Amino acid sequence: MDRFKTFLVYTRNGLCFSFTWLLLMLMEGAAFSGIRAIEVGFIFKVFLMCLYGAVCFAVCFTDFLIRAKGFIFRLTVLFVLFIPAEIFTFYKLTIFSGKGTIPEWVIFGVIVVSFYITCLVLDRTKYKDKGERYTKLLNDYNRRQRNE
Amino acid sequence: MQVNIIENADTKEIFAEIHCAEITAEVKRLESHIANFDGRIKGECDREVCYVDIKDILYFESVDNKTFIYTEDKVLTAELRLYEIEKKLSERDFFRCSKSVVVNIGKIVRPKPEISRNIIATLDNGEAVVISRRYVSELKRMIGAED
Repeated sequence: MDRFKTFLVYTRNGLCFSFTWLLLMLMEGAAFSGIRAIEVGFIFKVFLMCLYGAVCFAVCFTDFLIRAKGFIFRLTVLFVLFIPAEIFTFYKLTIFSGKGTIPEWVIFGVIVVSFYITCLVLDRTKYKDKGERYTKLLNDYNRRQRNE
Repeated sequence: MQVNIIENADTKEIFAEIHCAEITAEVKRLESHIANFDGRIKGECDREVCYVDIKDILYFESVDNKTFIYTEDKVLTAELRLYEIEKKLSERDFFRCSKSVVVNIGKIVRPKPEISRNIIATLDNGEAVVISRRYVSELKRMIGAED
């Protein structure tokens, strides 16, 4: 029950954050493009995408369904679940001008891939070394405890 | 340290009192040693009361107001709440690693820090528990890994 409550809190917070942020970006984009009105149906579709994203986020980053897994595993599951849906929605909603140009989609892809690669590199280098150091210190600590 | 044993036929249950000028870490350790001198903890498994050696426990977990004891081959229900167990156990051997888990430090074989600032601790049976970022500094202090 506690895990489910945490899952709901993450979903609510994720939805509020992503929907507000995306709406602000859309309003700014519309203002720059000289668009004076946004359709209710469009906002509703954006809301559904944010809801789906928030649920995916809560599934991946709480212990409700996935327990005791590392950050990279969780991030990979999130990307697998959400990125195809995001691409589909962006394409259908014509969030980029029209169906989007190749450079726009390339920029989108580069942002997603570079974020993932940065996390992966950090995990395999900095955090791996830290883990080895902690393992050694923990072994020393346990040895001291046994000898006392 | 002076140790006195007082024999009294009227005493119903053995009890120990520690007299000290100040409650230090050493006194707390002594208290925990006396409290756990038989090295076992009471639990319930398949509706039967059984005792489990403290050194065999991997971790304790609180789920929906129930406390569970995890060993390599058994899961038992504890009669104490998690904070009571935490108080009872030696703070050098057991460590509160999240809101709902107390883990046996001696059973952790590989702590792996994460980008999210949690630590995934692999236990010697291959199971993993999460040391949440709120409790990571305490672990670092214990093992001397403060950055």
